[in-house]
Amino acid sequence: MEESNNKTEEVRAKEIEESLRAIEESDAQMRKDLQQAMEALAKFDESSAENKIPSQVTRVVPPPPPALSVKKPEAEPKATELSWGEKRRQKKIENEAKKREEKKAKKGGSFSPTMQVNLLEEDKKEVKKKPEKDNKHTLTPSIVQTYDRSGNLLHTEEPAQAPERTLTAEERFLEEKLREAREKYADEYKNFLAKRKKGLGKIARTKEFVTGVKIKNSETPRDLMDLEMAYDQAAIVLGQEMLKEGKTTIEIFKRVIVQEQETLNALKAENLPPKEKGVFRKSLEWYIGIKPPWKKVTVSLALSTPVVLFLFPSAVVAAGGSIGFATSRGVRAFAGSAIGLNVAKYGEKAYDYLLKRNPEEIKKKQEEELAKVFWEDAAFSETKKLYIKTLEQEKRAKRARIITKAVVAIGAGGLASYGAGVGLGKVLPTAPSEVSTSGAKDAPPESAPKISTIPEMEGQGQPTIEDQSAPTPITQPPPTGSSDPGFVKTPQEAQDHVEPVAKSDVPITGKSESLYTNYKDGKPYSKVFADGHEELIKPATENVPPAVSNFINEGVKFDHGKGGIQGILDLKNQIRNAYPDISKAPQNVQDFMKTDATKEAIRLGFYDPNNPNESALILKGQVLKFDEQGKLLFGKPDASGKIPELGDKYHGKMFDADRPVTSPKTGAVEHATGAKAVAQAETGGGGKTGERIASDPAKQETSTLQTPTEPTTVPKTVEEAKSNALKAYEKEKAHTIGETVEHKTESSDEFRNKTTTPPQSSSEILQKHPEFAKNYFKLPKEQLAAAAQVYESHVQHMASVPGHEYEWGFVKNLSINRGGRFSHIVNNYNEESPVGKLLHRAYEVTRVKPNSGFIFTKKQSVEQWLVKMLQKAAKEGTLNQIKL
Amino acid sequence: MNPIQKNIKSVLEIENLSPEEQEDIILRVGGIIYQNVLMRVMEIMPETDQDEFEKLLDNNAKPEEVFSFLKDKAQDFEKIIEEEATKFKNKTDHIMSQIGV
Repeated sequence: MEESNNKTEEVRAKEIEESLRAIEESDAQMRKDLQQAMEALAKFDESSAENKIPSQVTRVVPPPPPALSVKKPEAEPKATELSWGEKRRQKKIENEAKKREEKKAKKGGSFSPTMQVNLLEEDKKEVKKKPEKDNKHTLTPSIVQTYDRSGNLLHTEEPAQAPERTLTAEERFLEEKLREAREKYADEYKNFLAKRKKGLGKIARTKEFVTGVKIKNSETPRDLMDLEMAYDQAAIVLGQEMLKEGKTTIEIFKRVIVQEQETLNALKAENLPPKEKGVFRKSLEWYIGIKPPWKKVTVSLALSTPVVLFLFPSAVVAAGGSIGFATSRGVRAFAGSAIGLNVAKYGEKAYDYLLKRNPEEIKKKQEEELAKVFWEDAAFSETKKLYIKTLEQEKRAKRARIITKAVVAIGAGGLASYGAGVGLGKVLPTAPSEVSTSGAKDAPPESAPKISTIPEMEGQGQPTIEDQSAPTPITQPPPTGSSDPGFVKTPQEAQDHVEPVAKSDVPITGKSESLYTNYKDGKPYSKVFADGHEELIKPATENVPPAVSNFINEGVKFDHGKGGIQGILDLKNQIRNAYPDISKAPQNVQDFMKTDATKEAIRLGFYDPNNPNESALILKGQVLKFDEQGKLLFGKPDASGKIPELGDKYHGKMFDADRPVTSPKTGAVEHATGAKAVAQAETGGGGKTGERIASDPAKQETSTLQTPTEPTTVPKTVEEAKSNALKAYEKEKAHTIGETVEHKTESSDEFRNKTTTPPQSSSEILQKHPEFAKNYFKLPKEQLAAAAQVYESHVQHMASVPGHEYEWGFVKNLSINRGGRFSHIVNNYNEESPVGKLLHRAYEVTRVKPNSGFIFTKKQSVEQWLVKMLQKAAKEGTLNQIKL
Repeated sequence: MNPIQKNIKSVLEIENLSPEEQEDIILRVGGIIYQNVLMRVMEIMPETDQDEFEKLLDNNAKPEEVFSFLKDKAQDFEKIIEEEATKFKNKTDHIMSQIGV
């Protein structure tokens, strides 16, 4: 017994001794790290003070990252004196490294995806002298290394086209920080995968393979997410530093995005289990060695079309403003840009060729076409000529306007008027005499593709290139933003009004010899000539250009849900974007632009606030536009495309927007439901009821002459007007989804946003929001849908707050219970954060606490908590109180 | 400048590159997405399929054969590609806009 006790004590003593040793080791290591960090910091400070790069690079200020260089890292600084624990630890590390090296040699060597690894098939010693021409496409242009089958490095080649970046001291420091963040993240990722894999049985693994299940965000541990965010942040800081140092966008993109991702992938690949690592390596070699080169381009395009579309905006515009996958509808149209054309057109073809099961003859045709397009070294040789032309034009053309239009196109979901060719085609004038803008004379007519709208195309109004040799005459919009402060009349207009991004890039109007005009305080200040010299010009008031003689306006086509006022707003936006300096437009167009949309609608007879049937019955397909002389046209284009003049005002049928319209005949609209509401929001017209005139054609004809059956309540205050407008809107919404909705005053732009969205059924809304699949309070479908709608509008709003665009995406899947988040939201939220603000307000209104996650309750994510709060608010009728 | 403008501005500079440089970017981006897709597939691919896949690679199969194999074996292969491409795009968007280019 005594003996046994002694043994236990011995064991305990040994354990304690080991623990103490471990603590001692850890302590020693910390001291060592601290000392090294201090030394590095001192060196860094010193070098910063002297404004030069330190000659020696220490652990904290490292050599360039692995993908940039294969040079051996600088030797670790020697520790002055090593303790017993440190020595032991060092020896252990050395042994492990030795074992790893031996293992690598047996398995076939280490690799990095950023390297080109050429395995020799037969002879170890036979090294390829030069890569063949058709094998020159590499995964990256960085390093070419040649290994034999045993993993021995035979040859390293650093291509001339990949020079190392010269790093400033700050960049070196940030590179090191990025490396640390990357490694921490990769390590944690590896641990996470190992744990996850261990937890999955063989059957589950096979199932995952078959179903392609990906790791859900909710599965990702908080620590890993935090490390990923820290890693991203380190990349952002490095990118910002590079920007400060004057590096170009493309340099930053290549370093911070492309190279970083390649390096991270290399680390991740190193962490794969031996078997998988071997297959991965082979697969990479296979990818690198794809021949002929056109097939490699094909594979790359097939895989990266959404990304490339994102990188090349003309293709994005071509895609109707949405960046979809290769097979998505938008990609079927393509832009006038060389690369845009290729990406949009051939990206889809490439994808189709690689992954679709087409009959052999189709496949053969696709192969021939792709091979022809991508055959030469410069894969886009087919459009090289076009590219050079467009580049020339681009230099002269107005980038600011292109951006503005692209933004409008994207914002509008790819309106026909700003479709594909806008990026590089339509923006460019074809006849110098048409409009006196710079660039007009320089633009080769053949380079501006004719754009037409194909109505049956998916993605409404997406244009296509119809005939590159017969361009449509295009008017150049004047360069500046509106000089008239009265232009932006309404919040909507203000929101849609896009200032040119780079005023210095804007070309001068009417002076073909100068390239650009610089603007100061919205007025022309100086002009820039082709040889680069700048000349001051007289004050803008003395240089008012004459009105354009051939004002061209595409006009607004009415479709589902668009009323007269909305049409006027759209037309104004369209003109404003095409003619930022409206002073050159015909006088009545200028007057139109200066008048409030609602007043204009009343003047033109599209809206009559004193009539129960207050809204014009506008048919689908009708167009509102100005002709070249500035006359307003309205109606359905005839076979020749001619649209009748509107005359003094609209004298057609009117109807009550409060009541749904039954189309009298095919082609009639369900429209204008928003017109009245918009008008009410703007003018304060009271919400009133009237007869359903659309079903009574006779009544429709006489409606404009009728005396209102009920006196119109004129609101006394703006708030009352808004309230009336909201009531009308909610009445309409309630009608649509069959619910009674409480109303509360809200801003007119919020309100307008709602009114311009076509009504959706509850089922449609809920289908869009799987977050609302769980019905916490057994709400009726309509109430649940109302909550989902509020959720949607808040998510959209949060994503639109500058500097906080990604906040919701980052936090929504985090657990609300961890890290004191709940208490933070309740007591100490950041008022600038829209997410914090929303959660705080939702909690204040509903007092719904998140699940504790204790014993029987499941932990909730931030998103789940918000959804529950919104449902509670819907139940209690307090949804309107949860507003940002 | 709103985020969309920022994006458009930054990408416009990319669009002004020569076709060769643009091609280089496409190849590198395609390579990254290929790696990411492969990584995901490798993480879950059963050993028997790994062996079969390895054989295919050893025989230097054509791209369409390799992709057909992966598509046959992993039911949602196309979805994986789409997800990985979208992930890369979103990350690019996020980081570049935060940088302020």
